[in-house]
Amino acid sequence: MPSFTFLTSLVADIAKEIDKHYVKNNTNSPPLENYHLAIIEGFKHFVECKLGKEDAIRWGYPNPEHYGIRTLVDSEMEPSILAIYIKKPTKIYKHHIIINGTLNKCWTRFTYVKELCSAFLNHYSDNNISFTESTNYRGSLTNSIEQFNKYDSAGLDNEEIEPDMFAILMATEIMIPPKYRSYTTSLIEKYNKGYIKLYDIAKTLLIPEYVLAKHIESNFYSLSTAVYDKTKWD
Amino acid sequence: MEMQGNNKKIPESKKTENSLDSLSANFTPDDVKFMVGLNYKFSVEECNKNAENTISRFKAFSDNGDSSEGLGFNYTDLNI
Repeated sequence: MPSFTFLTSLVADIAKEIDKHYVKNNTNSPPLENYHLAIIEGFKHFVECKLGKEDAIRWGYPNPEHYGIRTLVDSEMEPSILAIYIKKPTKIYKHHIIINGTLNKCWTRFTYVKELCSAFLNHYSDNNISFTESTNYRGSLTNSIEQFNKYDSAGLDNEEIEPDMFAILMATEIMIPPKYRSYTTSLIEKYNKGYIKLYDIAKTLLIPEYVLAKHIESNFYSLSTAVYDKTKWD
Repeated sequence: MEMQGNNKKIPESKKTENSLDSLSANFTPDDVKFMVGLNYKFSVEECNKNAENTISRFKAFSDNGDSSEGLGFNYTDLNI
């Protein structure tokens, strides 16, 4: 089963790819307040490359964009369903993500990133690693994060994450940008002193307040932040 | 809950009466994998039933040449 070390290493690599993608199309790394779109665009680009879109472009396939992910919004999706990821070659695309159109912006973003994680991990399962899918977002987030509450930094390498929780945790980590953990931590300190609300931090990050709350309540935030703070960011 | 259908035969011991399994089977011969995100506020049974509707709409969209035109519902592109 995948480990904490694998998760944080993977997320750090993805964060660097997101930054690289942004800088390629701009000049400098964005400030946190401008990073929202960078996460979505950069991570989608990363996943689509893994799925073969970049190869299709390089090899001159007709309509290489169809090797990417088609993302649609279904406003009639029942409220019990947040999103679906479908891997099926239709007439045009091979990968589809369909998101519930009634979600607010933050849940839409988080759900989308989570489904991109599913697409990415599904690619791995086809090749090497076996992943199963967790579908109850809140339950899985709670269960997967709380398992780390018994840890300080020791013993983490041996802690395994249930495959069906991995995508949820992966999405959460990506959405609280690893590169900006120092700044996020300073906001959390202000929150702890009562200067700002948790909602204010969630609004800065554009992630669901629930996701942020679960993350910073647990040891997981401090454990993963310690890893990213040691990471070399260009 | 994991729902997937593929070209491989499912051993009899692993077959279930999950309606989504049979729905995904109707998508064969291509590999089809569904990963469904559920809202925790609802029961698994209700989610299962609703997922079937969601996937049925997608199947209609797919059969309609990747278009929802004329199908009575409307997919839109994601705008974040």
